[in-house]
Amino acid sequence: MGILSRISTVFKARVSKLLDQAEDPSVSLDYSYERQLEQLQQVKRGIADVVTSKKRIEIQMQKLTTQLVDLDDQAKQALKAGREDLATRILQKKHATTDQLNTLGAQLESLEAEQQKLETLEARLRTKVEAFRSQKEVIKAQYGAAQAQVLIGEAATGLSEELADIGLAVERAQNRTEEMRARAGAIDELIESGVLEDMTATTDSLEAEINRISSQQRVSDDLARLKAEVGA
Amino acid sequence: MTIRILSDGQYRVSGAVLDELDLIDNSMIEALHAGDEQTFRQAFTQVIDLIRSKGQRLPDDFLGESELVLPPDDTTLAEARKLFADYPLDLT
Repeated sequence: MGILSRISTVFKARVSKLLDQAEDPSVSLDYSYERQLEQLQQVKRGIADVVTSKKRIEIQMQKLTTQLVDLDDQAKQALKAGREDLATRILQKKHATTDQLNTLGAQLESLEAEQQKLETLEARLRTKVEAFRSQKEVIKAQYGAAQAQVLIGEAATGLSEELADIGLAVERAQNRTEEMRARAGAIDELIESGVLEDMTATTDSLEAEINRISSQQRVSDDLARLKAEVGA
Repeated sequence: MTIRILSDGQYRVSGAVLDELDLIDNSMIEALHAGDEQTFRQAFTQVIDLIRSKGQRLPDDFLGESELVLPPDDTTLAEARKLFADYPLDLT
């Protein structure tokens, strides 16, 4: 297996880095116990980070949902006052807000998945740590010192692999949460300033054009609906 | 052979499944040479699916080492690049 084994080598290098730091098996045992506790704490911090980000997004979604109702009312007022141009602009903002709400909804979903993944990993780590502890005792009781050392060493390698796996997963979760937090910060500013402009600015021009046209369609549909409602 | 899929768990894979993995591996090499990212992604997904469906999932209290360690199924290209960044390895 050419590529697969090379990909594998990269990760295994991380695991052996963990083990190299403690070659003496007796040190290795203490060391891996320390690493276990450390890693459990890290997973917990990772989960807490995800939960915080989720709460923040939920608050933003509530604010945006309130804004949507307000914008609809405002557009209605504008129409009553005979200001169709103003109503159109308000409805454009309303649809930008709706799009933003959908994006936030998707982010919330992916954070929830991230949280679930970390919780599963935490449970598995606990099981492994427990298995390591009891296996160590069994080996010590059943084998001579030399062989016990080898067997415990093997179990420690297996556990280190798990620790490295979880370390990487937490790192990924934190990077993703960090990215979302940065984006959330930008959205907060927009909500504060009351300006929620085109969030599709980064897409290419063709897509932007399509978005603009479909947004125009939604706006004029909305305008027609409100006109009927206010009898304008 | 014990295979770990990161963020997922360990599987025991043997016999015909390993041969199948070898075949997909070859197509991954070709895709890499051709710079065909889509084929590469597809092949990788195939690898993961094959291990999950045909491999035997090892219990959570298993403490053995894995002979093969594969990245998470949802690894993005950017993440993969970062993962390889501190490890100079000619992947082509």
